Amino acid sequence: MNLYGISSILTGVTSLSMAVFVYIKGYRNRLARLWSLFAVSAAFYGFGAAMVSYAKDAAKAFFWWQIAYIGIILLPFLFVCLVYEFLGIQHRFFIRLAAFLTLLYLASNFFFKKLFINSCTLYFTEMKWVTPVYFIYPPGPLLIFFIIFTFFGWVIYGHWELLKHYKEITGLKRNQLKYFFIAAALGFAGGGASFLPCFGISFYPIFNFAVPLYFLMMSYAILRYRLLDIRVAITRTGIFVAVYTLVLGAPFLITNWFKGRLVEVFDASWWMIPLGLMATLGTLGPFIYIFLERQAERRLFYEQRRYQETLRQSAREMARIHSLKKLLSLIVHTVTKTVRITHSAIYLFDAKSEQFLLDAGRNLKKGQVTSLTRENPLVFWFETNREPLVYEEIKRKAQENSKIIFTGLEEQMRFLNAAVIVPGFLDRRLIGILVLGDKRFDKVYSSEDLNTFSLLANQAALAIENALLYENMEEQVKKRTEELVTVQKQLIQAEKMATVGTLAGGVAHEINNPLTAILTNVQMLLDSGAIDDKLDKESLELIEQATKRCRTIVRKLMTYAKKPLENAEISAVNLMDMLKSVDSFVGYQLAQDNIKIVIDAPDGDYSVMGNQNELEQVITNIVLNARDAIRQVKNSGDITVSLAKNSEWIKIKIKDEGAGIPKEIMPKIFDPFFTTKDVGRGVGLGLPICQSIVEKHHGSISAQSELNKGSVFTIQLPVKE
Amino acid sequence: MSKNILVIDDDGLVTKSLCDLLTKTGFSADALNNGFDAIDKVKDTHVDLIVVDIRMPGIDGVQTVKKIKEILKAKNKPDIPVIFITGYADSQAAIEAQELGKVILKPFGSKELLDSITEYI
Repeated sequence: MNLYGISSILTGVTSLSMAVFVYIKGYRNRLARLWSLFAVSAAFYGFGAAMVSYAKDAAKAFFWWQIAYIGIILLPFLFVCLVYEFLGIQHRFFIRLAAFLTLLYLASNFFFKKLFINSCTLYFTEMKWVTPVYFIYPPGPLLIFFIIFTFFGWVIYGHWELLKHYKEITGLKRNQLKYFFIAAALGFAGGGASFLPCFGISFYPIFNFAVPLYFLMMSYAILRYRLLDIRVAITRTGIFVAVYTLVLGAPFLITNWFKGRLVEVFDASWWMIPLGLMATLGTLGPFIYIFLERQAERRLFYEQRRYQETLRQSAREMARIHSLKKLLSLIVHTVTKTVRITHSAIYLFDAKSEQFLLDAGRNLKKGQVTSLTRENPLVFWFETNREPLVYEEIKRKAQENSKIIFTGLEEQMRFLNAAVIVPGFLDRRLIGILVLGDKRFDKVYSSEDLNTFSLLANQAALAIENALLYENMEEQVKKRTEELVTVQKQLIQAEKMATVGTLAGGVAHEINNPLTAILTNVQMLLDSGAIDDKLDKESLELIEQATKRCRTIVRKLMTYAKKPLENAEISAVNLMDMLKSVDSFVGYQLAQDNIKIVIDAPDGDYSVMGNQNELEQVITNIVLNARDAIRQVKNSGDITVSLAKNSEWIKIKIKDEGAGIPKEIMPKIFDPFFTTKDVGRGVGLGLPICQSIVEKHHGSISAQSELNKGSVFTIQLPVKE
Repeated sequence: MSKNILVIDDDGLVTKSLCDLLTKTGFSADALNNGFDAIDKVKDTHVDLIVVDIRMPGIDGVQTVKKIKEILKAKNKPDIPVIFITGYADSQAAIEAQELGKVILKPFGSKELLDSITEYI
């Protein structure tokens, strides 16, 4: 049984097919290109050695050894190049030296045979059930040198470099390094054992099988290295190899071992048995593979599945949480703990600032970026590509690709300290991103992880939107309730005022009678002439004055309190008289506060059609407001009321130098129920009523004001025709 | 002979004060506190002027005067001038009153009342 031959064929086949495959899939990547070359060299060795093992004579064997050695010579050199490329080292001097030596070896292989290999002889002739192979070629001095210092020397050196850098490298690359190291060690050790016979050690090169195994492992890793755990790579390739060796190998073995028996039993059609077996196994092969893989993965991924299930469950629970803050901290907490990552953070889009703000995080370092603008390349990227970003992948793309976008993304991910960023969408809108740090213990993010995270992110987006709506709703309800309460208070106040007004009217009327009695009697006394004493006379005069004042108060109170009649009297109103009347009413009240009304009007006839009482009400209201404004800032002041007229309009201006009205409030002063006074001190109906009265008179009212300077209210009324 | 003035008001304070004032001035004054009595009084007493409060319980001043005027007309007696006294100038009654006589607003001074009276008598 030509085991060596079989292993060599396998080597040749696997390495060559992998070389082609890797090159096609990854030709842009320098590492992949180098590796392809490496694989091609191995193919040389594989096919060469295979031909050696099936050679019929020494001369042919010798020829094929030379071919095989092309590969063998190139392998260590390419290995070191690979290591340098992977680690990013550039030892130009060494490389140049190595290249030179390699060329030297190649030359000796063909031209300086005495230094290298001169001849070969059949070996393993005594061993049972292994075919002898032309395995003895007395090594020339250069060959010895090559084997020890180059083949083993450089390979060990390469591994040493890998080991040296193991500590510095983190994350995904660490994982890759791990299996680069292990796979290479196995491959070279196994293949290297084939040198033993040359040195007289009668050890069958059975470990040559390690070489094709190496290739299967490595190519799987290089192509899928984004997200593969080393265990997975080994397991999958292991299973694959096991199954297919069985499927393909078993028939061969049977033919080889039991040919005799089969012929005995089946005569001429003995070949049908192995063929049938091969067909059966070939059909069953994929199922067996899948079954075994599932079993293996279930064990391997037990933990992964555990946390993916946890994540899924959290996604369901999230929908129930209404508080945004709680929700966000649940998400980061769950993610960080379950998946066992170093840190996590959530950035949510804030409509007010138009930025993505850092709203929750766990184990974040001090310098963590707190906001992202909409112009951030990450945002732009996610809006077009709705998939998670993995830092290692982006870094790789940035290195191979000349496109600036990848460099930008890589930079952003570094700023954010992100190993993975998962976007969250709601209705196609990007509403936030979930930033994840590295997995602890150097574990790697698998594609299932990313899928689960995407699911989580979208569920989270929904839940977040819900929570936001909920909070918004609650806030709105609160606001509306507050507004309702305020309006209610104001309505109650207005009603109170109305009631008071009515009461006041009634009371006022009741007072009129006693006042009549007082006034008439006092005047009688004065007119009687019976009071001689000057002081007594003065006394009575004071009583008369006081009573007259009471009369004025009562009159005005009644006017102010009563409801304006629907068809209130319209007549010619002399504004000058009206102003004087107002002055007489409020004048003494204002005098209490050291405020006086200054009437400024050039001579003329200021007459309008209207209701005097109502117009008085308007002027009184504004004058009282002016008083309140002045009182806020000083101890005394003037309220200037001026009249101006043209052919169409008469303008009444009431000016004060009081506190003024802030700009933001100005548009609201004529709104019903709008007041800046405390509840109980003003309902906010004064100015709106003034406005409706003035408008009823076909006029207009407006206000100008400057904070801390004063206000001017202007009432414009049409001239009486 | 002094002129006879009838003062009608439900408030005793007012009637007393006015009567005193009128008497002092030289008029003869009678006080009544409701309209019905006034109507009766007019039937059999000579009255030169009526001073009447508009707002009274029972029959108000305006109705009283209207009734009185009817009676006078019916009896072919000469019309009696009326001065209405009231707190409200704008009430419906006050407006009506203006067509029946003069309206003076309470509280008024003695001069104001006397001036109005001398306008008529």
